[in-house]
Amino acid sequence: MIAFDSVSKTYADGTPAVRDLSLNIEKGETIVLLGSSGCGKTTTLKMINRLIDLSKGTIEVDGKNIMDQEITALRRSIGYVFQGIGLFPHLSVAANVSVVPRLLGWDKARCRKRAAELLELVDLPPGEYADQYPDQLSGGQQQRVGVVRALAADPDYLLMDEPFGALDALTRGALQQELVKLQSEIGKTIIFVTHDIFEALTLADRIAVMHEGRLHQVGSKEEILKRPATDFVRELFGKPARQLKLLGEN
Amino acid sequence: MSYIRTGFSLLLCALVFASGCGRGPGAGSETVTVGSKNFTEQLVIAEIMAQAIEAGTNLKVARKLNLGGTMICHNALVQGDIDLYAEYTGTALTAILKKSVVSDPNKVLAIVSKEYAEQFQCGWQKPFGFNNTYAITVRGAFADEKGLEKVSDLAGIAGETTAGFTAEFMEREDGYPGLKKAYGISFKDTRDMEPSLMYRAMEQESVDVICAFATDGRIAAYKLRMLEDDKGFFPPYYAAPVVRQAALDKHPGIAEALAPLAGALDDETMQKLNFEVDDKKREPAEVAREFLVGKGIVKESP
Amino acid sequence: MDFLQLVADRQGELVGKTGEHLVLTGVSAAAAVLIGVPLGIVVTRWAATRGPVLGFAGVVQTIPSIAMLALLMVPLGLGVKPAIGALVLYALLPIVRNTHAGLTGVDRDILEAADGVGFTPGQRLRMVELPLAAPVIIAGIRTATVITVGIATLSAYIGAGGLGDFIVRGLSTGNSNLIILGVVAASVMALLLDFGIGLVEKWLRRRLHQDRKE
Repeated sequence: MIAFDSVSKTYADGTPAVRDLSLNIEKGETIVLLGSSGCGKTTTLKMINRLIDLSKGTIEVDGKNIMDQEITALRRSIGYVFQGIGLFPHLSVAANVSVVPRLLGWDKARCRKRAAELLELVDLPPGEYADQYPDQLSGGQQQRVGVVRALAADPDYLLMDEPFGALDALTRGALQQELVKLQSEIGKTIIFVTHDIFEALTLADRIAVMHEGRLHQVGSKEEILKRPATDFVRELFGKPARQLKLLGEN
Repeated sequence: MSYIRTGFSLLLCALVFASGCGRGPGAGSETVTVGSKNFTEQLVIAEIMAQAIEAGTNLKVARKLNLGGTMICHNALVQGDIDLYAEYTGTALTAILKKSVVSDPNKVLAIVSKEYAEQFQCGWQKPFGFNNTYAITVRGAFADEKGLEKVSDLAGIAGETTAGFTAEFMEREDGYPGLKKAYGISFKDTRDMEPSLMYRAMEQESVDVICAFATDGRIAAYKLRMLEDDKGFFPPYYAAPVVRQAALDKHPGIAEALAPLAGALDDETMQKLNFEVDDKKREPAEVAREFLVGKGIVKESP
Repeated sequence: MDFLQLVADRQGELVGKTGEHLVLTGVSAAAAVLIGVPLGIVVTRWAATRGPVLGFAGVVQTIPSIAMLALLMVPLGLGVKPAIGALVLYALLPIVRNTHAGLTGVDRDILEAADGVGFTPGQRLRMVELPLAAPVIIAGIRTATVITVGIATLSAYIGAGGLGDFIVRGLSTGNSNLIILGVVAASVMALLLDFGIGLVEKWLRRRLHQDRKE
């Protein structure tokens, strides 16, 4: 479980990015942080693996305060996928996937086996793709590699910051489906950031709606659609709710 | 009315008078250019010649000093960029006229005078008196240690010795190429360097042998020893002013002004003057002036 | 035609002086890399150092090479030491500047991924930043090497040898063929080194899969 307790982030110039956020993320769930740009969702995500350090409050991962852990050890135990993908261009696909295991000292054979397994999982047959280089892959393929890179050392948690945002709508749709399928097979805890309501609805077990640095509501799709806690949430889901109702009536 | 006229005439006179005065000693005079090579002795001699001409004629003297090597000076003279400089008889014979070495100083002078007059329309004046021959030189302690007195003595140890020579010496027939043949000496390593730097290199012991100039005061000062040219390889190098005939014809005063310098500088004196500049760091012009005043060629200014 | 005769006559010397020149160039370039690349890293990490370091290296470039040699002879004496000292100083600017450019040119996303997967700053530098910056750094080394070949011709004046000896001797004795020999040999050396290091640069780009045109 990841526990946020009254967490705030204020930048040096005084900008408050996240205000007094308290949230518990349960093991095994897929929780989507949803909101428009600037609402603080990405900041919240990045505070978990300390790519951004919080200003106030505490975050605990499995009961341990993240500030008490060695920063690189923390990051190696949490998977991170983001919009820019960031595959290492000078390493093969297999080498990219094996990056964290190698850092953890796994031997080459074990790394290669793990990479092959994971590539199979996302439909990139290792025989064909393991020795290719990122510049030979399409955007969608690259991000799939990005996802399995994050999973290589078998972390419990997976952070995903608008990972499909740079891809075309068709590829995005396909990858969302793959993620759902993957999730059913591997059962990780996924914290997913997006501004796309439909993406949220497709992927989430729970949705945490954020606006201007505050958490407005966290709950299942039904709760949020049927019992919006604030005006903002109600407005946000107004249209999709009406559409769903219409679909339901037909 | 008469005041104005008087005043006017006075003014006119004053103007005429002033214009006459304004010209001064440079009136109608022209400039003669003295050149020099790029080492101390040449700078001092050039100043001596320049100041002698300034004292003995109305001419203005420009200096183009530190021109580089022998050929640069020679070409400048022939092309008229300079009117005179001091050349050494042996250098003129072997490096410029490319003739083989002759040992009799008078003969050498005669040859170069004739050839220069015919080929280059330049006139050799009477030599100053000193013979600034190349001298194969080693540190005093090194000479004692290896028992070196003559250049031939180097034959045995040349293979383990490093020499520092000027770029010019490396190319001239009366330099290293000729020396090698005459003495059968081939050094382990030779380094090209600026003339002045050879002494520092000796001091630092980065080289053991140099081609010093015999009248360099630093030889004594740095406790260096010149090895005897036992095979008589080097020609005599008596320095003398070499002047363009055109300049001599136009300004007869030049030859006259330079005449007192003939035979006025022996090896020892030249060495001392060089030392004043190299070691005591005095200005060549100042050292030259002091010398000329001492000889009565230049008057001590009031 | 008598130029060719000259070259034939002086083959031995030519080879010897080419060797000396290569050593001067090689040693100086190597030293400049050992000093310049770390400096480039420092300058990239600590923005405050950028002004002073690049400023210093820039000022050095403006000092005429002969003056620099003369200055360095005061503490270092004659010969190879001041020559290498001067050559290293002149080679610094292109290397430091290119190291900085190469490092700052690495895609931000790649750096974010490196941090995210848990590289320490040292590992990130060694395994991601430097390899990806390498082609640009090599380009800086290429520039520095070519500059060095040229300036090394001046070491002829101070007993450090090299192809400049031909030039200075030619100047002292009015032998223009000798001057041309020195100049041509040095130019050919510079061109070959430029080409050779350029090949290394290209190979690296291919190896790092950075040779795709955007």
